[in-house]
Amino acid sequence: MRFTFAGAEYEGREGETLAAALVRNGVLGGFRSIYRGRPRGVYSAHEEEPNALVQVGPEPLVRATLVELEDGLVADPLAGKGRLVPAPRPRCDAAHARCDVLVVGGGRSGRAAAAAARGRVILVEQLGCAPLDGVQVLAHTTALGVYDGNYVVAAERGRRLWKIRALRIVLATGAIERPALFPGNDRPGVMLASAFEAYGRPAGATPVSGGFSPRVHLWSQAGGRLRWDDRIGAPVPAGELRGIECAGRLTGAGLPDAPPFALPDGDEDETFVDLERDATVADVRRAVEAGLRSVEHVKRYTSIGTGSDQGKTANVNAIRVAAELLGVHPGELGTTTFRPPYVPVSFALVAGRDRGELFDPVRVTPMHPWHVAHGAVFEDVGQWKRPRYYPRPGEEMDAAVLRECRAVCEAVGMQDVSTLGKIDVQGPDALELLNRLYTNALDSLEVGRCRYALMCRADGMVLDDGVVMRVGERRYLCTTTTGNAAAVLAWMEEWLQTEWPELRVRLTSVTEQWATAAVAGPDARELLAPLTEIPLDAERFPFMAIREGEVAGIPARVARVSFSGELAFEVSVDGRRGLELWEALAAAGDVTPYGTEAMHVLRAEKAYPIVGQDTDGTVTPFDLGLDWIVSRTKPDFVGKRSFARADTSRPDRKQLVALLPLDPRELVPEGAQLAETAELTPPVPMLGHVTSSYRSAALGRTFALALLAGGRGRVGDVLYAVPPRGDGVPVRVAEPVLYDPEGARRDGRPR
Amino acid sequence: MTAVLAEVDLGALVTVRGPRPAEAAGRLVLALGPDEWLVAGAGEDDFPDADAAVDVSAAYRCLELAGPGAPAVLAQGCSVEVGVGESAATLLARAGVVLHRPEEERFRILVRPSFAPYLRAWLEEALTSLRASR
Repeated sequence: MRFTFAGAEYEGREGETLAAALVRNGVLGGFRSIYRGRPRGVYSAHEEEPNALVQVGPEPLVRATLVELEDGLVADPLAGKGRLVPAPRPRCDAAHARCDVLVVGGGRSGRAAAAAARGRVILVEQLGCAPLDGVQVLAHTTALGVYDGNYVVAAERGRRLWKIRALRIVLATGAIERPALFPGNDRPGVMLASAFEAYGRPAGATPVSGGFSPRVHLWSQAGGRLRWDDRIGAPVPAGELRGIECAGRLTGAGLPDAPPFALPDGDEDETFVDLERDATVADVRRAVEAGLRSVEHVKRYTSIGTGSDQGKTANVNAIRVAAELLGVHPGELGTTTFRPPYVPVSFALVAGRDRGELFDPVRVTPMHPWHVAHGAVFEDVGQWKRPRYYPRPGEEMDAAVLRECRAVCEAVGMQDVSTLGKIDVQGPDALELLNRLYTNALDSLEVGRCRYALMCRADGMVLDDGVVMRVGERRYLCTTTTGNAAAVLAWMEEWLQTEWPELRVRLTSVTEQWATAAVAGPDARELLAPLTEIPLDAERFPFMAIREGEVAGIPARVARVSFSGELAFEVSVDGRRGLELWEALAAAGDVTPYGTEAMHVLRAEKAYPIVGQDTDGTVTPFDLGLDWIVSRTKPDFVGKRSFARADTSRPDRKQLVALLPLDPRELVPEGAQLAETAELTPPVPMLGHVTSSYRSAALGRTFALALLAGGRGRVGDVLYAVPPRGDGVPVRVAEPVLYDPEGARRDGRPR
Repeated sequence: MTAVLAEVDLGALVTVRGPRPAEAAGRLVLALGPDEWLVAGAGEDDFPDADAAVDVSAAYRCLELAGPGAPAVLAQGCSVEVGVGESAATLLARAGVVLHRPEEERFRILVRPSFAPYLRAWLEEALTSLRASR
């Protein structure tokens, strides 16, 4: 086969590495060092290679010693740095495995350990490896790291990430030869004696050896101690680790005595300790003379061990040189910290299949096909795709949102709210659990009724809000915000399982059991009436009541809740019939589908906060003006104690207010800071920030919500909303509820 | 080695909390946790003695992966090995699933409907990668 290196063509052989082929073709140089531009050549035969770095196609910093030759391969030498070429890369994959014994290293002792092991045995070897009876042999696979619970991550040919859980690990990782220290020990042709043998004693090459250093990396990563072995002049594993054993040359056994150590006789600036980093004995001397006594400090001062080879051939020599200069025993200096990955890995390998379309799950509701067919523009809410608005042909977003808002205020609209989290709470202690988790008192909530409710963290800050429905004597249904569904369920489970295991109550996620459509607007009754026998008038179906019956022939639960301030019904049906319900509603009359943007505007006119938009984890219910929802009579609930802290009752806390730009056409950007004056002379005290900002169809103007220091006491003041660039916009502070503050619209048109 | 992916209908499903419900004729009972069970072919009212019973018929879809390559496909994205006749609530790729292995080379993967398109796409790619690597 043929391959190209640095523009020249060579003949290669099946099963050779690129480095072996180069050396066999007489190429002993061909590389340059990173900083000093010194000529360099292949130095080793394995993963420890400091010199022979190549670019292969889009992949930079590949070690020539690990490249399996293939016909037509094109490789170019790199001087210590590569370039990431933007090119499509093959998708890597992953494989999970479990075994009784995992052997790392396919040398003599590794193969012996694997052959002797019982049960399921896996052997990983970074080079080629012959099969072994009864053993799953993973050749060209490098163990990258050992993690808690005997969890080993390994890379197979840089293409597949193995995640292996083993009852027992045998490390048989062998040893790495280190350079001898003499002036010119980096010249092309100088190579480790082990490589000289592996390459068949190439003509013109000079073998050198400074002794062997066991590959203690994985042992040390796992938490294993090390001790200095004077005979081999390197650290070896010491003590014990549960479930991990060391075998063969890793323990120091069978390694030759190290040659006597001495500082080089000659130019220390020509005597290389770390070839990849171009660091010499002179650099170590400078570090020590600068007063550095720790190997970690010497490492940072000299950069020894920070190359892409992580100092595999350099670190032990650096310890020996530093010890000699300091006049101490090398064992007293310890080692630098061994961290995964053992060899460089590409991000493509780590990402595996989690790329492109599969980067993160895209979740859609049962009604999604209808939204797509009707031209919805979607927004991401957590992993969900939610319709943001439904533009008509040629309609811009602003116009579409105003039209959708107007429809809800003047006629009727419908929104897919299936993404809201829903948690079924069942058991004799269901009420007790909810009373402890929500800020409001729920004792008086009757079956068939529901209530807006708020949850705080222990620090008293708002965590989530939703509606608690009492659907049975001992059964409740709690809704959560879309993005918080999983977190709120986990939060409830955590309190239940760790703090109050005595409560007899069970939680079940039913988010996807129900598909829900909100029908909102003064004509909501007219739209629904032909589809259901449930009486819809305000007397028989009052605000915050729940009814069960059929809607469009589908068994449904209907709740009279409103996130817009308008008359509204939320209709929930079996998720599999969600699309059928939606289509029936759409066909029932002149109803306008509306998206999250219109919903945001409508709720903001009523100052209904959105957790995560108008709150940021530093906002209490009182800051939001939701005092009415915090019980003063309940003995306790999560967050209650924090309301007795001085900090939560400071008069200058940031409070939710509305802002009205003096120019009713001007829209202030969300996130804009609030300042006292138009003139901004640093330092400018920041009084708060804009959390929501919209154009209102109902108000015929723009408006915003903001968190403002001492905000409720500043109603009527003029402040300046300062965007990141540009001048401050003058705004007047207003009471937060701008539209229908008496709540007259929630019952619909007067009869 | 290959495997085939299909969608199957398990009928009505109930999450039951409490002691393990009896396996009535043909009724499938999958363990989701120490006191949590998924029962197929039943309704909420069938478990009067349970701590809780919740209809989740619409909260799952069921994919079935069958063939000699099925274990290798699942091993690409799931760290749990499920024995024949066993089940586990776990993660497959980035989706929460209930995994059930009725036979040596047949797996049922119950997944939330909203995650089903993602998981299907992931499984189809894993199948392609399996065919390419063997």
